[in-house]
Amino acid sequence: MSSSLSSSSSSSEDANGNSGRRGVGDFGAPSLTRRRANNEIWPGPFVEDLVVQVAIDASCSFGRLAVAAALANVFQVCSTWQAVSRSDPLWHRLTTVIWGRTHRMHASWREEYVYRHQTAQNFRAGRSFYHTLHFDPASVDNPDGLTCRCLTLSDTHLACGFADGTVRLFDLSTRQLVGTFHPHHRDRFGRFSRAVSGIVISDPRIIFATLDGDIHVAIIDGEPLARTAHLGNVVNDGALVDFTGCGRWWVGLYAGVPGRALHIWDGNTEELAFVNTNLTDPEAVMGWHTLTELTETIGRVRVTGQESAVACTSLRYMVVDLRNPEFPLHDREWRRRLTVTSLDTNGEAFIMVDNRGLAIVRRVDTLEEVCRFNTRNVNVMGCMNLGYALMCAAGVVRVWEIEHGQHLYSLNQNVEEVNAMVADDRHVAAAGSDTGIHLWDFGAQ
Amino acid sequence: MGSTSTKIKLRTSDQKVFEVEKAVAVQSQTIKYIYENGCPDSVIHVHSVSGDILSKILDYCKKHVNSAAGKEDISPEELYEWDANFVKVDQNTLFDLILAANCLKIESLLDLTCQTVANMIKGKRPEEIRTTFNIKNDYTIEAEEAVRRENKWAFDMLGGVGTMVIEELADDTMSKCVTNAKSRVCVIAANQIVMMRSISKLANKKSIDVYKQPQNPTTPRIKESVKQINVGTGFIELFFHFKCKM
Repeated sequence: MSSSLSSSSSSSEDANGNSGRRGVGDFGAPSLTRRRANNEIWPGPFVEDLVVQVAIDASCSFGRLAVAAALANVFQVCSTWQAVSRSDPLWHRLTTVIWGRTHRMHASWREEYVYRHQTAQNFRAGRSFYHTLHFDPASVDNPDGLTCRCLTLSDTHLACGFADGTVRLFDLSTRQLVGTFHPHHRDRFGRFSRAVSGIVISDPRIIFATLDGDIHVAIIDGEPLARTAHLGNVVNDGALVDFTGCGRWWVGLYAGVPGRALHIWDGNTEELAFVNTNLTDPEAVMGWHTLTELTETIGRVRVTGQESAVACTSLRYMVVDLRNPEFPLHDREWRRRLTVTSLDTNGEAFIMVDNRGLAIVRRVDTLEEVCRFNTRNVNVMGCMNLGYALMCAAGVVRVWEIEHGQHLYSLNQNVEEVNAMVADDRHVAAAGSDTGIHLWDFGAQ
Repeated sequence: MGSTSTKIKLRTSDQKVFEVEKAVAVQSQTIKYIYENGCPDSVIHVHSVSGDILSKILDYCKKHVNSAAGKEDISPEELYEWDANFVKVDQNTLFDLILAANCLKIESLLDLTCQTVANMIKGKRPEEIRTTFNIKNDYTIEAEEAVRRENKWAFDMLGGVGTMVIEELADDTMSKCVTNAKSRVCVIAANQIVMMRSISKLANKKSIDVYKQPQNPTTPRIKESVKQINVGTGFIELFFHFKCKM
C-alpha cells in the first residue's frame, strides 16, 4: 500500500470522522466508515504477515506437517486472502521459517514447500526407497580401504570416507560413483593415520581430513588427487578424531595433546582461526591409540545452522559459537556417560544418548529440552534431521519424531556393524562392515 | 536551544490536530519520511486516519518510546500485557488500527495486530473466519472447488502406513478397519484438523473402539466435533487395518 500523506491541507469538510467523503488529495486509502463486507480492505503485506504468523502458530501447536492445512483454511476464506498464495516470496518465507531451507531446488518456492512437506510426510509414515551403493572392491589394495569411517550428505551427493584415506563420491540422483579422491602421499604415523575423519561438501569443493591432521581439498568434478590445504602436525596437536563443517567454517576435534581439542578454520580463506579447549584431555592417551588401532569413538563434533558447533566426549559436551569461540556458550559435564556416537545436530537442536539409553534432544542456543525418549540400547549410532531422529542398534534402525519423542517405526533393512550414519531432510545413509552403503530416499515423488 | 522537545503537528482526516513529540511521531516511518523530506514546520496531514484512531496510536507509540528510553519504569512482561490490553477493542477499531498502522508504517504495531488476528483465526474453519471478520465468500462454487483441490496436498498429511485419515466427518460416519500395530488417527472435518491421537498403548489389540469419549479435548473446536459424533452417530467405530512393521 503506497498511499503517501501530503503535508498540505485538503478541504474535506467533515465535522466528525465518519463521513465517506473523500477530499482532494486523498488517494489510496479506502473508506474507513461503514462495514460492508471486509474483503477489500486487507492490505496485501498484512495478509502475508498474517499467513506467516498462522504458519508459525500451527507449527508450534501441532507440528510442521499441520502448517499446510492451517494455511489452506486461510486461503479458502475469500479470494483476497487466496491472492497472497500466488506470491512466491511468501512461500519463500514459509519454506525458510518452517523447513529451514534457504536454497530452492524446484521451479518455484511453492513447489519447494510442497516437496518438503511431502518428504516430511514420508519420513513420518516410513515411506522410502532403499538402495545399496556399490563400488568395485577389486580397485582397493589395502583391506582397510573397504572400511567406511564417515559419511556426509549434501543436496546432490553422498561422500564416504574410508580407512585408507580414500573418499568416494556418489551422485544421489543416479546413485552412481562419480568421484574418487586421494590425499597426497606422505609418511604415515600408524596404520590408520591416513583414515578419513570427516568430510565437508561445499559445492564445488569437497574437503576431507585424515586422522593425522591433514586437511585436503578437491573439486567435485575435478582431479582425484586432492590438494593439501593444511598440513597436520600430530606431535603438536594429536590425532584429528572428528572433522565437520559447513561452507563458512571447518571444525576439527583433536585428542592427544592437552588444551588443543578444538580447531576452527575459516572455510573461505582456509586459515586456522582458533585452537583451544581441554575437552578431550582425559582421552589424550586414547587419542594416540587411534592412529594405530581401532578404538571406540573418542569424541564427536557437529555444526548447526546457527554458526555454532556441538562437541562431546563420553564425559562432557560443549557448545561453541564459531564466530566467537573463546567463550563457549555451554560447557556441561554429564552425570552419566554419554554415547559419543549418538551425537548429531540439525539446524537448531542436538541429540545425545546416555549410558542408560535415554535420548534427549535439546535446543542448541538455550539447552532447553525439546523431547526425550528411551532407545533401550546403550550402544547406538545416531543421526537426526529437522523432524526425526534415527538410532541404529544391533543392526536395526529405529525412527522417532522429535516434536514429542514418539517412536514411529523401524526400517526394514538390517545394517550390520554400522560404522557411520548420516541423515538430512531427504536421505538417510549408513555404512557397515560390508562393501555396500545403505541409502534410504524419503523424497516425495 | 534544546531539541529534546521538538514537536510535530498532525492533522487527521476529521480535522483534529495533534501535537506530539518528534520521538513519538517518527515511530511511524511514513511520518518520519515526510518530516525529514518536507518542511519541518508545517502540519502533516494524516488523511486516512481519524482522530480517535490516531489518538490511540499515539498512546501506543508514546508507551513504547518511553519504555525503550527508560523514561517509564515498565518491565517487558508489563509492556507485553499493556499491548495485549491495547488490542482488546471491537473489530471495527481493530481494522482501523491495522489500516492506520499499515499506512503509517509502524512495524511493531503491525506485528501486534497481526498476531492478534492470527490468534482470532486459530482453530477456525473458513466459514467461521468469514463470520468473525464479516468477510463475504466471493468464491463461485467452481472456484471454491478449485481452491480446495489446489490445497488437497495439505490434508494428505498423515496418509500411509500406520495412520487413518477420516475426511468430511458427518453424521453417521463409520469406518471399519483392523489393526495390529501402533497407529495414529487424524480426524479431519470440513478441512479442519480436529483431532490427532496416538493409539500407541493399544498396540496388541486386534480391534479398537475409539472416540467414544475424547481423552483430552484441548480446544473448543474439538469438543464441538465430538458433540457431533455423540449426538449424530452415538460413537464412531474405528477399526484399523494396516500392513505395519514393528
